Amino acid sequence: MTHDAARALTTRHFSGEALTGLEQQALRAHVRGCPPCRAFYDAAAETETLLGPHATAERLAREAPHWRPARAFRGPRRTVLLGATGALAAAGLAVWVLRPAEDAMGDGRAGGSYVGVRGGEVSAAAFVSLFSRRGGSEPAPLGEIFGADDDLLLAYTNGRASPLRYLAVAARDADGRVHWLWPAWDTPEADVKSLPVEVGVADAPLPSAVSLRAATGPMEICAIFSREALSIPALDAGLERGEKWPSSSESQRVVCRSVTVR
Amino acid sequence: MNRDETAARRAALADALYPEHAVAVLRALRAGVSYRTADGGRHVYRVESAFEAEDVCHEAMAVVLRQIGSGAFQIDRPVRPYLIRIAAHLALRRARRAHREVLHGDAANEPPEAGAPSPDPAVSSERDALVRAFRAGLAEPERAVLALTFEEGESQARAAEQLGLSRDQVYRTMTRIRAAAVRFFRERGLLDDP
Repeated sequence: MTHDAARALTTRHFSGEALTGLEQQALRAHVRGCPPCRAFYDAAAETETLLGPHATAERLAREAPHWRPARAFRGPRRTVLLGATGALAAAGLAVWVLRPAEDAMGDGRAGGSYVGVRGGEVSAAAFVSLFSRRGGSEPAPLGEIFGADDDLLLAYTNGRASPLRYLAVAARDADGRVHWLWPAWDTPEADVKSLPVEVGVADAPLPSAVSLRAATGPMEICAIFSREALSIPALDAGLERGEKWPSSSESQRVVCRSVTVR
Repeated sequence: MNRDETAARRAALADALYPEHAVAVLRALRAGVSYRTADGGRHVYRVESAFEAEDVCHEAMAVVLRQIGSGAFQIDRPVRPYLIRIAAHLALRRARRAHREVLHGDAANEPPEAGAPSPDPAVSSERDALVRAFRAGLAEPERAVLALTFEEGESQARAAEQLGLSRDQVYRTMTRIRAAAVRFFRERGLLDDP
C-alpha cells in the first residue's frame, strides 16, 4: 500500500465511512510499519476526541466485527462457503485458481484437502482465484495469457477447516522482478507482514486491483497461506536473489500458477 | 441459569465490550501501564501513539471475546479490570519485542490521560473555541445526535428512540458529523491533508 492510499483510507475511516475488513487490515498493516502514516493516523485520532469522549468507542465498535473471532460465537460459516460455491456452480463459472505446486505432506494426504470444495463438503481449501481486467471492462477469470497493461484482481478461498490465517501473494516476471500483490508492498523500509484472512469464506475479493507493469514473457504467481504472519521484506529479499518460492510445509501452503505476459 | 440464558448473557457481555470499555482501555494505555522490574522497582510505560493503543485495545478485546465465546471467561466477573490487565500485558510485550525503552518514569508521576485538554491554557482555549465553532455550525438535529452519541455515549438505538428518528437516520447523521469534523478541523490546521 502506498502512503497516499493509506492516508486516503485513514481519512475515510475517520469520516465515518465503512471500510471493508480487508481495507482495515491493509490500513492497519501499513500504519504499523510506517511512522509518517502513523503520525497522520494519530493526529486524526486525537482530533476525533474533540467530538466527544465516546466518538472513539463508536468508531472502534464499528471496526470490531472485523476483529472479532466471530466463529467462536456464531458457529461455522458453512452457509457462506456453501452459498458462494453454490452460486459459482449455478453460474457455471470456471475459475482458474492457484493450486498447490507440490504435495505438502509428501505422502499424498494433504494435497487434495487444500485444493477444493468437493461434493459440497466444506474442507480446508485454501487457494486464490485470479481475474484480469482490461480498461474499464468487467473482470474476467485469468486465462493463460495476461495482458501487460491489464489489472490483476484476486479473491481467496479459505475453508472452514483450514488452519491457515495469513496470506501473501506475489508474482515474479520474466526479468526476475518481484511484484507484491497482497499486501501491495512497495516501501522497502516498512516491515510489512502477510495479512490475516478469514476462515470459512469462498472467493472473498481482495480490495485492490493491481497494475503490475510486468516484463513480457513467463510469469509465476504464488500465494502463500500461513499459520503465522510472514515478513514480506524477508520473503522479497530471497525472491529477488532468484531463490525458489518457499515450499509448502505443516505451517504454510504455497500455491502457484504460471501465466504468460504479453 | 440454563444454557440459553448463559449464552444470552455471554452475547450481551460481548456486545457491550467495545461501547462500554474501549475508551477506558485506551485511557489506561495512554495514561501508563504500571510494571515492576527485576530489582523490585515500580515503573510506568505509556503507549504514546493513539494508533498503537487502538491496536493493543483490539487485540485485548479479541482475547476476551474469544474467552467469552469459549466459556473460559466467568461472566459474573468484572470485565473491565481484566481487559485492562490483558491490554497492559500486550502493550508491554510489544514494547519489549520492539526493543523499546520501557522505562518511562516512576509510577507516582502519572502522565496525563489521552484526550485530556492541553496543559497550555492558550492552546486549550483555542481548541475549545474551535470545538464550539464546529458545534455552532451544525444543524439542530445533528447537534442533538452529537450530544447523545459522541458526548453521552448513548447507543444508536437509544439515541434514535429519544430523538424520534430511525436508527439508520442516526447512523447517517453520525457519519455526516464525522465527515464535517474532518473537513472543519483540516481547514483550520488541526489535521493535515491526506
